[in-house]
Order: sequence, then C-alpha cells, then structure tokens
Amino acid sequence: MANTAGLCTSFKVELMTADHNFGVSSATRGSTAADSFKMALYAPAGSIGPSTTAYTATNEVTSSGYTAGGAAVTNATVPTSSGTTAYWTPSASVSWTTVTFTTDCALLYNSSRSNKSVGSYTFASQTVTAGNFTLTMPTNAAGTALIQIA
Amino acid sequence: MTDQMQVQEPPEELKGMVTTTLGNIKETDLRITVLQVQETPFVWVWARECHYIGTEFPEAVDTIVRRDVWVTMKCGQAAKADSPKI
Repeated sequence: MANTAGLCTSFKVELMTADHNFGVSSATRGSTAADSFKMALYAPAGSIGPSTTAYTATNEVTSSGYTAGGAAVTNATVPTSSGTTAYWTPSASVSWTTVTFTTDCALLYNSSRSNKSVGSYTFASQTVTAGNFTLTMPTNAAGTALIQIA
Repeated sequence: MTDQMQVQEPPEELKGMVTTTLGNIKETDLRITVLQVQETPFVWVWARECHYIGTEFPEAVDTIVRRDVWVTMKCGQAAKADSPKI
C-alpha cells in the first residue's frame, strides 16, 4: 500500500452534516468555539488517503519526541472565501523537535469529533535523524489554502 | 513593566554545539549541507544534513549524524463543487 493525497471522502459528506467546525461559531451545532484539529505523520508503508475516515495509529511514525496522535494544529484564522472558493489554513507551522523517523504523509483530523479525518498530504519519503521535522502551511488564500472548496 | 521577553541563553558549554546521534557535537566537527530534495506543484521539501568530520568518533566520519526536514506546503487540497446541471 501507499499513502495518497486528497481530502477525505468522509470529510466531504460530513461537511453536509455540520460535523466539522473550523470557525469560532456554528449556528447548527450551537458551539462558540472551533473544534480542535491535529496532524499525525505516517510511514511510507501506510495506506492513508481519501478513503481514510478517521485517525489511525496503524503505520503512524514512532520516536521519542513524537506522541501518538501527532501534534495540535494552531487554528487562529476562521474560514473565509474569495470569489467562489471557500478556504481555511492552520495559522502556524506544525513541528516536532529531536525526532528520528521516516515519513511521507501527514493526516489532518478533527480531535474534537471522534478523530474524524479531514485530508491527507503527501511528499517524498523523508528520514529525520535526531533532528527537527517542520510542516509549513501554505498561504491562506483561494488556490493555495490547505483546504479549499472550489 | 515592559512586554519584553526574557531570553534564556544556553549554558556556555552548549554554545556552538549541535545535538546529533553522537550526542552534542561541536559545529566545527560537522559538515552541514542544505539541499532541496523535492519540488512539486504541492510541496517544497528541504533537508539539512550534518555529516560528522571530527576525530573523536572515527567510525562515524562522513556519516549523517543529524538530518532536519522542512516540508513546505505550496498548495492544499480542493473539494470541487461543480455547478448543478440544468
């Protein structure tokens, strides 16, 4: 198997059932706080992709300096739109310090909602050795944002 | 009162040291290279590799004793909603 990139199909369905709240208010869910989101990293042997419905520990990387489940995503920017595209991007990089592992995929998931998956993001397999791994977010704009609904 | 943060200096003995698989190593005992290892429409990937060139660990000479990676997302993922057909 291999990890593949894409928004999770289950996430697209859950958008229609108001399962995810990236903003600070949700009339449907009556919440005034955004959900919490996390990023987990996976080894190249994983099978994370658009068919993933929730976070899994299977093939997740392990290392001192890395906690199972990954790291919290900073969410200080509410979803917005430009033209006909709605979009959202975490407001800070996600990083791990002094870790040793090999990874080629990050899974974004909603830790407030039963760890439901949002999207998977792939890159060439990278080995980190006693070093830092940093995932820098794209520009938060239509056409580049981490999540876009075009 | 000021809003200035107090910056904690590292201990004197750790200045110029780099954490590696061999422990804390003097930066002068490392050959450090930064390379771009991938560019696609979606990502840039950069790596910083530290090769040991000191004399204290002869078995480790010319091996990578630390590797840092930066994955920069250029572009995320889109869910495309086609216009309804009439």
